[in-house]
Amino acid sequence: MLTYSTYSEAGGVGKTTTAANLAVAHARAGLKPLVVPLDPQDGDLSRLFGVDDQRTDSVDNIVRHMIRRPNGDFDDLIRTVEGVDIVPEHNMLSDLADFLQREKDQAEAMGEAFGMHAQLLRVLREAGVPEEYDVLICDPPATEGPHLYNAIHATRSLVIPVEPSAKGRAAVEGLEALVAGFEDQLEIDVGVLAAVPTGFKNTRDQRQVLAEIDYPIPEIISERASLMEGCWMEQCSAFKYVREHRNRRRDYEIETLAQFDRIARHLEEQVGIDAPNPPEPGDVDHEVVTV
Amino acid sequence: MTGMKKGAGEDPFADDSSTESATTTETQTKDSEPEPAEETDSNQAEGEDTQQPRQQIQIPYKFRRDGVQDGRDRVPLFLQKETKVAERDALREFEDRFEENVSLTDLREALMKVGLQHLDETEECLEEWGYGMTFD
Repeated sequence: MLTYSTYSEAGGVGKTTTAANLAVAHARAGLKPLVVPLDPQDGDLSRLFGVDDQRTDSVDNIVRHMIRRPNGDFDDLIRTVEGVDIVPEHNMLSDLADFLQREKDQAEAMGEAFGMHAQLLRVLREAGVPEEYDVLICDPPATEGPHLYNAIHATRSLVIPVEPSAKGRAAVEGLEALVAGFEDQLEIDVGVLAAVPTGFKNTRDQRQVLAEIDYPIPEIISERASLMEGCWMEQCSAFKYVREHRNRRRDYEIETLAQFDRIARHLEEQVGIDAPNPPEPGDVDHEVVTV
Repeated sequence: MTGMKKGAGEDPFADDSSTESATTTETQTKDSEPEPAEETDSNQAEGEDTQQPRQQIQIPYKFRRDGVQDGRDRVPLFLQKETKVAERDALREFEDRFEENVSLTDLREALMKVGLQHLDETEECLEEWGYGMTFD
């Protein structure tokens, strides 16, 4: 199974659109992806895919499952969009740290162990996710805390959308420090499957920053503001947006879609997954065969 | 920039996860292995069966009875919502472990019996509900 979390410093790097479009790219190729976004703020992956309509309602949600108080089956949390299964975000995520801490105190009073950062993995494992899915993508917020830790702990691999700038460089260095500490604390090994530079304008400074990144860079994605804004407006992936909401095909946008396809293949290769029905990269009208 | 491993990290769903202890959700008493629900007659002297290997096998209660209520008195039970949820989770857990249906009545009595062996933790629970509070 391919498992990864998308990580980047807050804001503007296209972390969520990267996670969303890679999920669709995996699904297009005939794989079954599950996406678990964990952002406590609006403007998140659930909103991008239009499955955030219940985030303020008192409904069963991932947080309840993480603190061992589910109000139903895990399967009933899932919404399916564009061939991608999503566990929608809920406003209870804002208080995840408190909920986990309370549960931990309670458990310890009872002489039990309760790993605050191991709960997402437990929920996914108990729900049979590794048997059911080919790909697991977590999209946590960039801020240090239980959302990020649970995501990294549950996936152990990272995809890092990075802005090719001094700020982006600092973010990657910050991530390295964070992960190093986290690996020691939980005795796990974390790997970086890919760095994905986004918003590339091919300046000398940017090329310099990219040259210093020591992780695999399968593709460099250029600035695609109009395409990504369109995705948010229409609440869909870039693939669907180009297919259904563009009156004409723009070559450079098709190329961006091809890049998502190729990154997905690169990630699958890293763990030895052979997608059953991979499209010609960027083929917008690729027939998705659902098993 | 370097620092993290290139390529995939370990498989989080591998069985030999080093964080197993952190992800465990069961309450395990340290001094005893979970045993299958085996009930011996209370009038059988303890330690008798350790003296010599007698070929007398006690048929477990589950197989001796005609129905789940045999040999039991009915007591009403009133549970808070979260207790009911936890009870249901426990039932599922044991059905997974035994790979067969587990009677809720059996589970309840087993939970009761184990609780009776852990009065200190039970005391904590009662204190949470307000027992032992003094208003001087």
